[in-house]
Amino acid sequence: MLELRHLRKAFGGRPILNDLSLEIATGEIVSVLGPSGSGKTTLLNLILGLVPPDGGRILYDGEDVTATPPERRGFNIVFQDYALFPNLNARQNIEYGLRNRPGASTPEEVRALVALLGLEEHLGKRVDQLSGGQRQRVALARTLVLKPRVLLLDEPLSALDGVIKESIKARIRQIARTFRLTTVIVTHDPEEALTLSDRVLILGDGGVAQYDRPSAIVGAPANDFVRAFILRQLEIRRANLLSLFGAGAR
Amino acid sequence: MSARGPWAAFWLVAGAAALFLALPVGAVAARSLMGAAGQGTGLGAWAAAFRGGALPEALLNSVLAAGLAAAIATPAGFLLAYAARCSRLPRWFRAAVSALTTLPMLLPTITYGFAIVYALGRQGLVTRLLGWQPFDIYGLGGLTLGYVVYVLPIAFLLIRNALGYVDRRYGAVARLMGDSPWRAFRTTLLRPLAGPLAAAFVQSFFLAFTDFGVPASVGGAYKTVAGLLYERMLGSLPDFGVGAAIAVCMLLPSVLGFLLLRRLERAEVRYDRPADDLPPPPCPARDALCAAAGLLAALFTLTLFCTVALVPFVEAWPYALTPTLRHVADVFADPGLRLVCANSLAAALGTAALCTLLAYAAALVTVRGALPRPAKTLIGAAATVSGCVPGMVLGIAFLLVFSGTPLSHTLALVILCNTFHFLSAPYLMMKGALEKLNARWEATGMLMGDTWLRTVLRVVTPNARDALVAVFAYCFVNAMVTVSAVIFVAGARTAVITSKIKELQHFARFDDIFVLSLLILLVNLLATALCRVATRRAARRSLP
Repeated sequence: MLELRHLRKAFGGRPILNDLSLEIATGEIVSVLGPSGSGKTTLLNLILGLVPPDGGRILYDGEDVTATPPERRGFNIVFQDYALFPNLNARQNIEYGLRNRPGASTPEEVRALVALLGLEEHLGKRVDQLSGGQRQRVALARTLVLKPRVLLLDEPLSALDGVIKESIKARIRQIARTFRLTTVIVTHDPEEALTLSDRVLILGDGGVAQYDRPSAIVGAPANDFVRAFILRQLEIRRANLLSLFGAGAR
Repeated sequence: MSARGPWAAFWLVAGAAALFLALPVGAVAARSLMGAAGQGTGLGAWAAAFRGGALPEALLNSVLAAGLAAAIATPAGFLLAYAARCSRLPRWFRAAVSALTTLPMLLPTITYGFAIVYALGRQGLVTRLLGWQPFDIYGLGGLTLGYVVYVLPIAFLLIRNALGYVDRRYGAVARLMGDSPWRAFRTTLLRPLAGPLAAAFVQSFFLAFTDFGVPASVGGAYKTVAGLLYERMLGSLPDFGVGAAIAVCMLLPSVLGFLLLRRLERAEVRYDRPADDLPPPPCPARDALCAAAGLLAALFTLTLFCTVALVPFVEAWPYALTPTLRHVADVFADPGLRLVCANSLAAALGTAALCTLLAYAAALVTVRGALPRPAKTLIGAAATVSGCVPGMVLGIAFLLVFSGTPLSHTLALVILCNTFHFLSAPYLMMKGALEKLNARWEATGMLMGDTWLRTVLRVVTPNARDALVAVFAYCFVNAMVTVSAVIFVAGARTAVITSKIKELQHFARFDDIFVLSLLILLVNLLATALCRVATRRAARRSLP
């Protein structure tokens, strides 16, 4: 279980996160949703350890990791732009971490992971020969061979085309279930968050606006902010889609 | 996050800059305040420097010649850059304009001076072809012309790069809104270019002001600061105190110019994503003007280069014009000259390696190291500030500080001196290249168990390869042609080609001078070609 207790972070005197506390169960998929500047990326960086918190603690399975350097937390991330290494091909990218931690995955496990992500025929390709969805999957594989305890995904779908989005969403869910992997996903798209995750964390005003199951958020928005920020968008989209299909049926 | 790697790079650059830049330059300033005899303190050296009026006259002369050169090179550079970037002339013509305009960068400035003498002097190639001498080349005329040859390529490159950042769509919009072509040209091209044009002028001025090669070859009786400085330090009656005072006189305006350049850089207009897919609108008058400018520049450059390439291959210019390879054979038969060639190559390779390493380390610290801001600022300043120290001043500084040490008269000292003479531009090139690379690689590598240094070696360096090769070539070519600093640092056994050329001038061995210059040109052409092959191969590897 990943626990955040009273986390605080300010940049240049401006508070970004103010007394944030929450728990994420092992194997759970949690989406973090919020307007830009609400501290989504800061939260990821705090969990990873790339920036130190101003106050509060981070615990994993009861162990305090607040002061543990990022490389020893056993958490890992797929950045929004994937940060793949262009001088290496897909296979070399995927196996990059194994040079430092040879025991992390057996060759058999790597093969299985590559198969699961459908990357077999792309292994010899260079990064610039891969499509957006393929790059995303290579970045996922590169992270997963190290068997992280917590997987963080920063806007994993924002750079992808509509059709690929759905297949990547299914892939992320499948991975989280297969490896019982605690997964935290940052996104700005309510639809993505509500359809992808077990629970959704909505950030507003430096704290938790609502943290609940998708159905609960849609059924019982905690406050006006959630209603205005999340539900309005979804209702407009629903209306648009309905009128579109309604017009087609006539 | 461990910061051991970035700190190691920090100390490497900071330590080297303190020892080989701050200490020597400080020593020059201190020496000028030690009094004329070098004991105690006082303004005696300054008083002696200004006595007799030679220094004020030289300062005025240098400012005049450098100002004239900058005033000619800036508009000329603009016109040529405009022809290369904004005309509808054929691609090959525009490429030829670029190549010929920048060709003089591959030769030492001292050679242009002699080329001007042999082209436009009383017995010169052009004078003989025309039947009359266009103007007196010894003195202001020749000096200005030599400076123009030297600084035009730099002004051209600055303005051409700036033109690459000007968005052509603005010109199209201005025309669509009813502006006349002239008005559109002024508002959408000339005005955004005001900063770079001013920067080109300032840069040209200070390069010319501090150059040693041109006044050494065509200065004649016309006194310049550079000439005076050389005379005081290595002439018949050397006086290091007075020399140091003159060096400070050369340093101070350069520091001012450097600060001015930084200001102008900040004022530069940079459009985010200039559209270069939009071709320039058709305009025959503009293209005719551009073609004329390009042809004129090409004719001029080719004249000088033909002179350099012709003179050493005839028996005795201009009296015996039978073709011969005797002079070339003589140079290669002379063990002394063979030694300077080997020295030059070794010094250039060493400079290129060391300068690339330091520029890369400095850029890594400032762009990709997780260090406190003051540490990054310090390294950025240390790496760029070398750009405002004239080569002659740095050379004198090395002479003052390292004479008598085991480093004195070694190739290592030549390499160190060149490295800190050039460091600024390579650092800025490296910094620009590293800023374009993905900022998340270090974090990604760290999360996969890398140290910072390992990510730098395994990921950043292979992806910065092209920039590293370009910087290496830049340093190599500059080390082959530089004369201003090495003249004070190279010893008898460690003379390089350029310092040897200066020596050969005393014995009027101009055939040897031109053969050696051609050798420099060939080596530099080869180096740039190799650099191009290396980067092109890398580019091909990353194509689908």
